[in-house]
Amino acid sequence: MVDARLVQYLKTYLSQGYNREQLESHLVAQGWNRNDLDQAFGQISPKAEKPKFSFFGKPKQQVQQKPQFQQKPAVQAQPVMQAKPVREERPRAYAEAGVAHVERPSSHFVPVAVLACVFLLVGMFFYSYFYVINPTFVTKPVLTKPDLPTVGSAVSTKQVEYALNELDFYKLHGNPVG
Amino acid sequence: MKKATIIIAVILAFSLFSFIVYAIGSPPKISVTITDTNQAFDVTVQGHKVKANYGTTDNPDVIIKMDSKTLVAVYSAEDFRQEAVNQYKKGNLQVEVRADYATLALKGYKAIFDSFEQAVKQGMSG
Repeated sequence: MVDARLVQYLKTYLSQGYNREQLESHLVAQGWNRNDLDQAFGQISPKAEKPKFSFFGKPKQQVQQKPQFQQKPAVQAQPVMQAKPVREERPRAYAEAGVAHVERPSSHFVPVAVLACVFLLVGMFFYSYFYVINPTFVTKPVLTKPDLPTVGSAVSTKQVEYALNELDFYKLHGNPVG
Repeated sequence: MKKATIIIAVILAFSLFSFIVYAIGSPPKISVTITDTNQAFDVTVQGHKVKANYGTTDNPDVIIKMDSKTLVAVYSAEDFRQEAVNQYKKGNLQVEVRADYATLALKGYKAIFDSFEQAVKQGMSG
């Protein structure tokens, strides 16, 4: 059974000068089934309004300006054909067939993933340089300065530790790959 | 949800990398020898803390040799780094690099190199 709103819609726009081909292509793009459209057109006119080939160019009605399908049709006066088939109003044939409404994957995932990878690489570079290769943000341990060593006498481990600490050896760390 | 997954993955990657760098990497090893007293010290750095023990080191990254007079001179100076550079130029302090540049870079020796380079420039300008 053909949707009465569809038949009314076709009648209205046919009377305004649009031809079957234009209406078909538009409605198929909106998700309508061709069989439904054929039936609807069959109800309107048995001759089916197929475009006639002519040696003398396009028929007059085809020369009219393009239908402005971008505009939403008036809500009350005419049947509303929304730009995208909303889930609850999708063509009956799809609902009866139990065809799942497959949503197209979000178009924002790839640029977000690429951006995330770029940030990750930049972050890893800065981390590698400022924390591994050239540790910059390491806090210097505060050590108590031991007694001054004397020439010729034994040196203590504390004196060596203090000296190397003052020479920035505290910045060193383990080799991450060895 | 996908953005949250990416953020969590980034945080985990950084955490894992930090763990590898600071926990399980082979620590830097420096051998310090006081020539006139025949003392050898095995110095390591763990958790950014310098730890010296008596004894020799197997496969040190860097070997530092000096006599006790040089150590006293460095110890007495206000600027350890500048005095160490001066003693190095005089030949009293010897530094022998044993590890390859990649190992030195991955253990953070560049920071020490940069600070000594700065001390050399200050010495030249001063």
